[in-house]
Amino acid sequence: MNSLFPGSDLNYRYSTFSDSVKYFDNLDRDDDSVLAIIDPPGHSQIPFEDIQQILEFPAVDMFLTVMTSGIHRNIELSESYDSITSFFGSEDWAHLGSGENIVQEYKSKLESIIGNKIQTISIDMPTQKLYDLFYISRNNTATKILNDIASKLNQITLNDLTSVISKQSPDVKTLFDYDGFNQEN
Amino acid sequence: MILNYSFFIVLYSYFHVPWNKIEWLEKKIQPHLDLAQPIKNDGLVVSNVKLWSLKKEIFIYEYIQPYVNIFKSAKNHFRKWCYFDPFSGSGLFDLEIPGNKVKFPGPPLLSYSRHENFPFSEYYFADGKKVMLNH
Repeated sequence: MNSLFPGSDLNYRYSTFSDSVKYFDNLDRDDDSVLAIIDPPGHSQIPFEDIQQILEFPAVDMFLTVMTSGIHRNIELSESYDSITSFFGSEDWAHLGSGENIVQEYKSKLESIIGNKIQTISIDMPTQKLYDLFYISRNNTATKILNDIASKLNQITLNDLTSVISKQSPDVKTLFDYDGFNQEN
Repeated sequence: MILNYSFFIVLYSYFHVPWNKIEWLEKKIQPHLDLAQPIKNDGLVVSNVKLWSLKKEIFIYEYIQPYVNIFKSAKNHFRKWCYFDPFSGSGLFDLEIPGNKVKFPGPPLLSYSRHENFPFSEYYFADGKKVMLNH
């Protein structure tokens, strides 16, 4: 990876999320800015206090993936109680009822940290929401640009993505490219 | 007054080109596909990702240029502008579409692809799965 980024300082390491967040301890709160891409496989990997620590950094912009459907699927499972509590930062989620309500309340908690509205785009499967992508900035110009990109992405459907990828990728085989197709037909 | 209003509507219709989302999407996706081509057979360990996650990749890619321009500008007085990705994976993933898998770049490669024109002062990449880093 280092060879990909000539002339820049690159850290590439095996690390838990909580250990990675210590990176912020070495930054200057007045003079440095950060674009943080927080894209965990699930809610259990992002304890609330770590997200809070990142957002308390003055000049941080963040993309944060929140697995709304995963939380909703797990709220009834006793073995998920601790992981949702860790994600949410307290046990107050337990009376909120649905994954959607929990994520809305979570968003409000983050908004109170940054003192600004948080915008989201919804990433949907054909029949249901999969997750919310939060995008966060305290900079007004940046927020306008993010909103502009998001408004375009919100108009893109799954069919649009399928048709463009199928047309453009040299790796997509059509039905007739499969070896088995001609043998069977 | 009505005449003036109509005049502006006609003028707007004449010059306004409606946004074509498919053309826009094609233009946005092509750099990602090009980026994955040279390394798609390098044997990197990859995660599987569903098609709908492409929106996220496009969003991040599109924001890198304005982010660097804003935070690097003299007006904002920042000493460093850093890229922090603690769930970076190997940099490549398998995009699943019905009957196919397409290699697609993840955020580390997206930031790399813009490094020449829109460099960050520091990059922090990490992953909690060791196998993702063994390359």
